[in-house]
Amino acid sequence: MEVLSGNVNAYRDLVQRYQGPIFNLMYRLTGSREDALDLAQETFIKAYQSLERFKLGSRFFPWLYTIGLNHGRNFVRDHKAQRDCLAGAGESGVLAEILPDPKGSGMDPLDLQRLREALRQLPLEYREAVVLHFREGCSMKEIAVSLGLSVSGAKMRVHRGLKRLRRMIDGEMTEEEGNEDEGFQAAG
Amino acid sequence: MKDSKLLDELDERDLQVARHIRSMPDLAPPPELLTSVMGSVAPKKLRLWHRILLWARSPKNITVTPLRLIPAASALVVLLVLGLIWTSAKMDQRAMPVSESKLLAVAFNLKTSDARSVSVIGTFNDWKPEGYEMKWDEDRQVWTITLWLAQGRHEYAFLVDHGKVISDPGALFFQDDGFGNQNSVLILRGQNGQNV
Repeated sequence: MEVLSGNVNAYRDLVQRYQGPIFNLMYRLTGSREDALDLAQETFIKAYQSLERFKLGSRFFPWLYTIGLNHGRNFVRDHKAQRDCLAGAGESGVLAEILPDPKGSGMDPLDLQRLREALRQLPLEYREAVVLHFREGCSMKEIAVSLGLSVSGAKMRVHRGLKRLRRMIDGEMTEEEGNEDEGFQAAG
Repeated sequence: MKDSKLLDELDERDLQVARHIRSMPDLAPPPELLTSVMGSVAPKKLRLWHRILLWARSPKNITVTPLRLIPAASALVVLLVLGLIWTSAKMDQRAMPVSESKLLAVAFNLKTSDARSVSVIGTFNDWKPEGYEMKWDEDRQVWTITLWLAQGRHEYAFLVDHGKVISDPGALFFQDDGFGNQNSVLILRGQNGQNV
């Protein structure tokens, strides 16, 4: 409310709170720190300029995420990047940076390695649905808004994304199979 | 597909992958992100209709005279009496014995060092914090309480300093509360099932 009243300092709190998820979204989309920084900056500035369109009473993060995802997709499309841009990034660089300290996460290093590889291969729409739900704690309704789906579509996307991810981690599905899905159109 | 139905179709390995996604370390945003954004935004001049909308939705102080207060006080007393009658009727209906063998011990933990008090509220206590105050564990640096809960689905949240309601950052599933916030969801399936 304070931000909507024109309080710039209140917006600082929102940027501080959500800069991590938005920066990492852009990094997953582009595989480049520099591009991720630029896109995250532009997302927060765009959101601030569009605050009048923010629906009072709803959560800020899904609305911000929608702006960021659209902005990132446009960037990827305009730069003629591959559908999953992480595939085009240096293997040793990108994913090692996303997960810099496997021991600190408390996860089995092998599981972590498989997880990051599977996430890299998972089509964008599935990946973001899974990340939004299990990592960012978004409800199905919020995921539906963020990804432009119906609520049942969001549930299906999360469910199938997780199942697909698990099969890829366990070696039951190849990258090509992971990208196949009748009726599924990946953006970018 | 409801969230709970969705969950039914997930096995332990799926849930393990979900937990790994949640605990996966993120890339830290560069410090210049915040400074560059804040250097690029200027105070906004809102349109008149938007200022009116904001004014209408913000809390206001209302002053009343004692004479005007009498009808309102009467209405309040009637409402309280009706509420007490309804609550006592509901309590009678709810008094169903649950065998202890079907109860499961659940430890609720919340890491927040700047709170003065924390209670857990949820569907299992009608969202009432009385008797559900959590204790501060100095060694683990967490607020904690262990409750015996029936198997099934429970929604819950933490009440911090008697006024602020927050969801459990460690929960895997969430449910809209209909007021723009989210409750955490806990599903207990007994010793042989998955508890999430």
